[in-house]
Amino acid sequence: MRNRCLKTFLLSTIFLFIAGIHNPQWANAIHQTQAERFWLLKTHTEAQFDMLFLGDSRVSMGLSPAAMQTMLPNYRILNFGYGGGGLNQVIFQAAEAKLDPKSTKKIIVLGITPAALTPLAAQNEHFLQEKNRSKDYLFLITHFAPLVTFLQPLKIDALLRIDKGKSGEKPVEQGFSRLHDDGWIEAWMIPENPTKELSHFRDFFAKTQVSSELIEVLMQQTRLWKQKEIQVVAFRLPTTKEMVALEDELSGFDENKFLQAFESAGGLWLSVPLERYRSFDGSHLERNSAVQFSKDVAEKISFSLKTHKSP
Amino acid sequence: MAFHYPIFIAFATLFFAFWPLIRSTKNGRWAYITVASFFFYGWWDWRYLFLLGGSGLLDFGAGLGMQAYPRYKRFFLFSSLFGNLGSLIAFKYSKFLLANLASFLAFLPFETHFTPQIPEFMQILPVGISFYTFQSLSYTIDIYRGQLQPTRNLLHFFAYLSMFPQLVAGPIVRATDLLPQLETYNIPKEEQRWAGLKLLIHGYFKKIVIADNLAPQIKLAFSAATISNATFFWWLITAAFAFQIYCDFSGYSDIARGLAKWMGYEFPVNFDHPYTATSFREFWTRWHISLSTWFRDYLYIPLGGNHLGKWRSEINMWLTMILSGFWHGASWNFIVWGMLHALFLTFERFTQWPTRLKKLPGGRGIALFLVVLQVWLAWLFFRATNVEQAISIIKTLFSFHGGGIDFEKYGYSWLIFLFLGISREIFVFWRFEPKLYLPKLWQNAIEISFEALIIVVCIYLRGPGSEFIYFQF
Repeated sequence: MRNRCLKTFLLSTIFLFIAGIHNPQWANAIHQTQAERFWLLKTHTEAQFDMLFLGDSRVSMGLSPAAMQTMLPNYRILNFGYGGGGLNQVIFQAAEAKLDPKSTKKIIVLGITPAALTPLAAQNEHFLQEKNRSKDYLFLITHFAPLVTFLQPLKIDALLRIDKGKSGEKPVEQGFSRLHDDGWIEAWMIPENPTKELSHFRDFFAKTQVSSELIEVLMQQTRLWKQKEIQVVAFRLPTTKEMVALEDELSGFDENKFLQAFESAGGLWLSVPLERYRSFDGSHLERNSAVQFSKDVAEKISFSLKTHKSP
Repeated sequence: MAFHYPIFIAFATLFFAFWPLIRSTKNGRWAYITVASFFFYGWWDWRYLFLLGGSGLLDFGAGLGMQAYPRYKRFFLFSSLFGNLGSLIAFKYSKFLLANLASFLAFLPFETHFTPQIPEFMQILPVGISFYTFQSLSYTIDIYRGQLQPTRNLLHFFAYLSMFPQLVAGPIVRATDLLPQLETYNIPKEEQRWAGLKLLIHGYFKKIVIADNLAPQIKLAFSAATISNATFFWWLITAAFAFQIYCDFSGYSDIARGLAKWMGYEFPVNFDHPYTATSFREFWTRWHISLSTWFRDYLYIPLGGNHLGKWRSEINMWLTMILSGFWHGASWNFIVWGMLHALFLTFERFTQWPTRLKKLPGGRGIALFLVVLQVWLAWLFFRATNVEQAISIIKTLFSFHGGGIDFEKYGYSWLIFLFLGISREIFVFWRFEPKLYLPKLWQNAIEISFEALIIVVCIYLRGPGSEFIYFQF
């Protein structure tokens, strides 16, 4: 039989087309492509910024650069937070490389959570996964997004209906998100469940604790950035009172001690009132609170800029 | 660029589009392969092209030197060995060797700090250095032995050394095999292209469907802060890793062989269903064949092989296995892995247990089970983060603790891919050939449909992307 290769290619194209148009996970494929594009763009963007926000998912969901720009109109801001992200050299170096060296108002803002100061978070797996993805995929996803969506792999567990939502049952809470090119994940949940994440963090801090070595690395970096005329601002991200109590009890994080060390390293600590904001899952801010919080942070930074020349 | 990146698909499409136009002239063909291969390799980090180029130039020069000045053959051979092994040691082993030397001196006790003194660029392992170094060495050693005439054309040499399908993860193709093939050009016949396409499809299936779908759960299990004490779970993970590494590496070799066939060349078979081996000796004739034959021909036999008595033969084998383990990585884990294989081989040589067992009814199956069991246990040292973790997992495997799998965390789908991997090998062991049961008239049509279907499966059931495991070697 002649040309078996050609026949195989032609037949596989037909099969692909049939499989693609009957994809039972079409909505998931669209979301997957958007998410991949979002993280790749955040990680590999060649744009340069004046201000970067670093931290874990509470940062990526809690701070909207667009909302901040209403208070700081001349600042180019990127939300550089990653899921489970830690605050150590890996992310510090990547963040510094994204600051515009010509900018006279370079600011690094550290979103502090006890989880981000643990050795587990310091592995920065999410960030490294995105960093190590091939750049050609970024090209593909930017210019051929429909094709990428069409060819998104299926999730077998969901396909066989053996995932968490057994027999097609909807989970009790449904999470939603909208991804913004400035790095913010606008997230919400219906219905909200402000105690959902407590058990996760209880398990998390049983496995890993805040590391004094990592805090020392952070302080050294703060001093180094100050020498390079990069302003360093930090605050503890707002969450529920229950979560703060849990973290204070189990994580080994001492906020007052951290604050003193940070200020003596030359950083500016911003106090954030908890009661102004609402968390949808007991950890992350829901979208309206995130916008409000972003504006409040921007206002505080703007105020500091005016009163102290530098925050 | 790796075979499973989109950029490689574009690269290969362009390469094969122009290949028929260029392959007819020798220099055109060699220059085309060399330039394309350097582009392929430079995509990771162009700076390491100098290392590949330098290693190649040294061996090309050494080959010509041995021919022009036969009296100084030994000098040229040692220059090649020194240059190649020196760069391999510098880039791959210096950190490990200095750290161990420092620990040893500290034990005496002397305070030393060797590791930070290694230049930063040397702390990154150039992709595929172990493969192309061994391939290049085979060229000079074969010339020294009088088994090969050196090529006088630099492009011919670099087309052999850098040929992109096998450059970064093998198979390690000998100069005696590939240089003569590159002299001629063969327009691949339909049969060769079809065989090549099947290798490509099955190679991708093994890598991106089986290995990549098993990878996340294995990573999760081995990176947990405290390892699970559930025996059944660890048996599954051990099996999963055995199939991950096999499918990952043999998948790469299949893709390389498929690409070579499309160019009109033949690479040797590198994996021949190793988990169907019924003795350890047979396992090593089925697993990473190009490396095991390299060590056999360039280390084991020059050391005396099995011609100097039983004990000397054992010492030679142990040395070969330990160095083979060390070739895989600069860590004690790999040395222990090599030693375990040597131990299993010694036990087998002295007791001849597989031969005896296979004479019993059902003995072949039991022999397979025992070989696979030993191979899989040894893999734990290969994968574990350190020797202590491997030992602790082996203890769990034989502690027969209850406890199930946390399906919420690990999901179910990986078990399907593990089952697929195991089934494939069982078919081979039972010599089950589905083609034989099909009506002849329909054989081709069914085969084409099956291959087309596997392409679709590769696209829609591919796992989360990860590098080929053997790139790190």
